[in-house]
Amino acid sequence: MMRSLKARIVLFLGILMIVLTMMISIILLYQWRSLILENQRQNALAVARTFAASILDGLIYQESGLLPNEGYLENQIHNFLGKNSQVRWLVMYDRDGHVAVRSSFESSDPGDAGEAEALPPAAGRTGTCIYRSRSFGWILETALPLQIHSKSWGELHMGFDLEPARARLQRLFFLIFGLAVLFVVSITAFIWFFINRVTQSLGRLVTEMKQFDLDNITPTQMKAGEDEIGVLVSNFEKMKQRLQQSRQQLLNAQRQIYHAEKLASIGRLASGVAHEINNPLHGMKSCLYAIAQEPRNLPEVKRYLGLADEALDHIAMIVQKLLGFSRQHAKQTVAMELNGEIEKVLSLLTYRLSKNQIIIEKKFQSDLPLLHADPNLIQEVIMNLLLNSADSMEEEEGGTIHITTASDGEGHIHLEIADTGCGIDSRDLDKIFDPFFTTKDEGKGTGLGLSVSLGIIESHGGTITCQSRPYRGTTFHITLPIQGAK
Amino acid sequence: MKSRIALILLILIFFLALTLLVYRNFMDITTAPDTVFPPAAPLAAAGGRDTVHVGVISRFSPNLIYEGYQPIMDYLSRETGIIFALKLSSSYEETIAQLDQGQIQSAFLGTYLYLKARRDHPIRCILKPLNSQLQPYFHSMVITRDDSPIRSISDLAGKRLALPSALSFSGNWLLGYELQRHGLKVSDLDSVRYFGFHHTVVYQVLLGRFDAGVVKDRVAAEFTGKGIRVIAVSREIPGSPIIVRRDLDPLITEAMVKALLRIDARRPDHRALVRDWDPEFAWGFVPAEESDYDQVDAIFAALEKEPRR
Repeated sequence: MMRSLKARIVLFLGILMIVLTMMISIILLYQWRSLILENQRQNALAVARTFAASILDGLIYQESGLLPNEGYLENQIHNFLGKNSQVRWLVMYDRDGHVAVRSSFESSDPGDAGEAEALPPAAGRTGTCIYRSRSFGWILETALPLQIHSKSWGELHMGFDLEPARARLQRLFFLIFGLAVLFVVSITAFIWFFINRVTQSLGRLVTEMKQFDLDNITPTQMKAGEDEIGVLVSNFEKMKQRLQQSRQQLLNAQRQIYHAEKLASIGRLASGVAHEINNPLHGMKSCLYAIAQEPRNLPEVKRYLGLADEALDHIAMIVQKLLGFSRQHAKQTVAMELNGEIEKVLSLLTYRLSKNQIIIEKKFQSDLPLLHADPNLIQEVIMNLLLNSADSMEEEEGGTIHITTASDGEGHIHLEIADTGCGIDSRDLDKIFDPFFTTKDEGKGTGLGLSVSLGIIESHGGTITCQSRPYRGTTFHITLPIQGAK
Repeated sequence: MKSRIALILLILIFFLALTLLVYRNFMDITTAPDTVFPPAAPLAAAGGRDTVHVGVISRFSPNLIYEGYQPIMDYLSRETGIIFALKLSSSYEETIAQLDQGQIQSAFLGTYLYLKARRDHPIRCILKPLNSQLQPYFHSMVITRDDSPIRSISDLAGKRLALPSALSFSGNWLLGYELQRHGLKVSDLDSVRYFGFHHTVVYQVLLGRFDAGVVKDRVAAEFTGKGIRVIAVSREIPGSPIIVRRDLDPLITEAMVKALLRIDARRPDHRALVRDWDPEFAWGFVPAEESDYDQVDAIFAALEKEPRR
């Protein structure tokens, strides 16, 4: 993630740099090319004008009889070409456009322009043109009319060697290209190192965030600097503290809800428990009555006292079970036997189940592995599910609850509680785990039972699912990892 | 990772291809023919029955004469419908000979040459030029280098003197008239040499080969502030006349006169028109009469009777 961000920034800036550098380089190159060529053109025109002025003087002097007519121009051209190596050829046209003098009779004159268009002779205007000649390579041709106002003596065309200028352009191109590449590489490397430096602390923060564990919150090791990342680190630390507080509050609230729900379950057990206690009490009362009738019959008194003691033990056991169920515990994960915990819950429900003519069919795996979980919380879940099943069969005048336990050999224990009760409407099925959702009459349920059960199972790293068909029954399937939540 | 490398490679290939494209375009320096200056006005036909050949005495180098006089020919041709063509000569005498032989029908003569030629040749003056003060006069001027100790004509004793043509006014004024007035003789000078052109006289003085020289005011004005100093100025001399052969068709003469008299240097459009003309003729003309030159003629005639010493 971090690397990707850095790479993206460098890639984006790199491309931006390349594009900008290329644009600037291209503009510079073409500006310089334009300047160099314009300089060449002006130089060529200056040389051509100077020579044309000299030739024109010669022509005028010849016309005025001040110079000999024969050989003068040829000598001038010969001397000029000898001293100006950049001039590759020279042609002078008369005023009718016919060649009057030329520097060479090889195929080296303007007609040799290849595909390019050379300057037309006798156009009567000063002009320049650059083209590639078959014989001379790149040529800058100048055309100058040998003319004073409307008096014309012809036209002078000169071909200037442009290969050195082109070689200079080539060197310029590679220089600019090299500098541009160097610039882009340097700047990209600089950006890379700069971003690397900037994101180093960000990277450490990301690592801290990755290692963040809600169950084991430790103070951030990073020092909070004064920059934006420092503010981020400081806020992260504050967020961790707030999370820790919130989590503690949540756990407390959850524990209270669990306990409240547990007490609510006890309320729902009240009639059953009362009946359970009532029976031994009646027995005890009968024993006391018999003792009162025959107080001197010591063997009988002894027997009745034994029966009363038995009844008291029974009551004590029931009360102990109730107290055990209702006692508030901190979450404590131990290795426990799931089947035994189910039996404990069933013992609290005996009266309620038998009163409603509910048959319990147990299908326990005998060698079920020990489950690492909090037995009190697991009991609460089982109690919730069994009470719900019993409630669903209250109007059905009996039914069956199938309780199945099994391990899948892959580290999970499965618990299934299936009843033949009234079932759940399919429209309500998605809401049954929502807090405060209940279909029971007012006062008969808090609407927190299944929500609490879901929370307990998830806190153990397990899952709870429900399948139900109205009037056919409901099945809750719980899967718990043997090693508990990770 | 691989896709990232592929992306970077793709980008690099793209930029390399772009660079190659730019390189090819950059190195192709072909340009279409361009025009620095458009063609001049249509060329005047040289020769033909309707052509009036106009001579110019060789007071300047031939190219300078073309530069300054060809626009006048173009103007006359345009205004009169008659073709006027320049015909140069290698000397003052040759221009007179050309007139005699009918090779030229009109000419720009110097004042001194005209005074000599009108005595023996069938010519007449028709126009004389105005100077920058719009007066039909010119001056000859004695020049020295800026750093020269010569302050007046009296200081010329023992000095080297450069003059234009011996048939020019400037070539005769100092030696034939002004030296005498300052109590000097030609023999008091170290040396005297004539040059073909007025400009040559200036260059000789500037180069220090001669201590002083005499040129027309229009040439001296060209070099004012460029290393020369004027130490003496002649009296007002009637401007160098435009002459015609006496047998020239009067209609042509009249057309010439009318066209040139129309030049009014005070009008901006005419200033633009005469911009390239020789400065001596760029201020317009007035009609010239034979009698305008009589006074100067009388002075030189008197001096001719008294040989120089």
